[in-house]
Amino acid sequence: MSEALASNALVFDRVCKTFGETVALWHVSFALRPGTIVAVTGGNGAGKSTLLRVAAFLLKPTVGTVSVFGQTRPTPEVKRRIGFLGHASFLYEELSAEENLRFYAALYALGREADERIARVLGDVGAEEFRHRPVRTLSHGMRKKVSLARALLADPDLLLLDEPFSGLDAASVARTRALLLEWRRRGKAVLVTTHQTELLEGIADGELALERGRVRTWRAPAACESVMERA
Amino acid sequence: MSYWAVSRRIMAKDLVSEARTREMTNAMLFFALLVLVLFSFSFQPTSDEERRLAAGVLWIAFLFAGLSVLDRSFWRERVNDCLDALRLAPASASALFLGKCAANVLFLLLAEGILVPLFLVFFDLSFRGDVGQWLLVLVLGTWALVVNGTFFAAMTVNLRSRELMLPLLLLPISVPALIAVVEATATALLGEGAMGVWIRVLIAFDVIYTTLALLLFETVLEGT
Repeated sequence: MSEALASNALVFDRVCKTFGETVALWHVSFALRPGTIVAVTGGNGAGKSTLLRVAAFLLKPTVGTVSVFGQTRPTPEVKRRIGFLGHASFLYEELSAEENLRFYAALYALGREADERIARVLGDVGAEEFRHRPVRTLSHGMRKKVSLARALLADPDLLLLDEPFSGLDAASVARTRALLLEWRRRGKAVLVTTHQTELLEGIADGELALERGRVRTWRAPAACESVMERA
Repeated sequence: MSYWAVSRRIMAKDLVSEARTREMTNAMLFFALLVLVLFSFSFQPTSDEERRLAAGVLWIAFLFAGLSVLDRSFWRERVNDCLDALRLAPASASALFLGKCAANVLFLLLAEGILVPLFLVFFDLSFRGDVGQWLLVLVLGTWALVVNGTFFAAMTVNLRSRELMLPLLLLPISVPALIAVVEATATALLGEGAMGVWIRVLIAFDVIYTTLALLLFETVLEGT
């Protein structure tokens, strides 16, 4: 493992992902350092969600290498360091918000810390008041908050957030922005996809703009060494 | 959190979810009861040969119940893409598998606990052989169905034709275990012969397929 790879939270090296003849990602290369927030932007079908799923090892790249904290395989140690918020909520409908978090706390082996962590993340996202309600009774915005709490639960070092602001009201958007800043201050690496680029203004350190799976522009964070090679 | 604690948590989650919706329990009992009722109208076992036949009917009812349980097992993980969350988690894949199997075994044993007394009443039968040994056959046979069924349910969860593929994969591979459980049940109903050989067949079947499933489940989970 090279030192450059290990010092980055996430490195994409000429990554391509195709589904049959459909190109989702094409020679995407970039690096994300700890303590930075990078926005992934682009229109529908640009490849933003695929990029995040490849970064989380949920999809294997067709060509190229993805490395998370220097690891190119999803070992349990690496998985523990990744927090992922996808389009789907990853929540069980019949369980309450707290029961869902308790379940995931067990899978992430949080042990005695679980209670404290659950209380903290529910407070951070503003989901305390409906923590005992079954997920099936929650609105879209409430689910989003619980999903974000689930992603933050294990105190991950790399946060992959797919449209974290969608369905949130103004107060919740402000709270989420503050959370992102707090996570950056704590040295976490954050990759956020969004259509609402204005919501990341002033907090994103860099931007990766995608167009039909290709990198249109890569504005690297000042502290982040770019390893991008354009296709 | 230990390996077993993860399994327990998965099992508890499935049990709680089902207890709150009862969607699988209702379907499972409905189909299995239908089989028993229909067959009980078509024949009443009076001879030894018909008692042998009744053993097969009982296990057909269990199979119907089992397929309902197994089909729903991983389907519930597809809602809100929870299967992806399981793949993202650092927990051992085999611990997840064992938790799923344990929940499925409990569901099926619950159904069997309801179906066996009804079977004895509908067909006017009683066990003439060793009931204790037959209960062991019931548990081993249930595990045999569940371990392969859970494995194939995970494998087929994303297929459009999963409801067709699950029995197509599960039933042929389960033939040795099905022969053993039907023969052992017939022995228990007739009170003639020994169940020992069938119990040994079931133990061997369970050990082999549980080991294979535990070793291969991570690959299956990654591919879903």
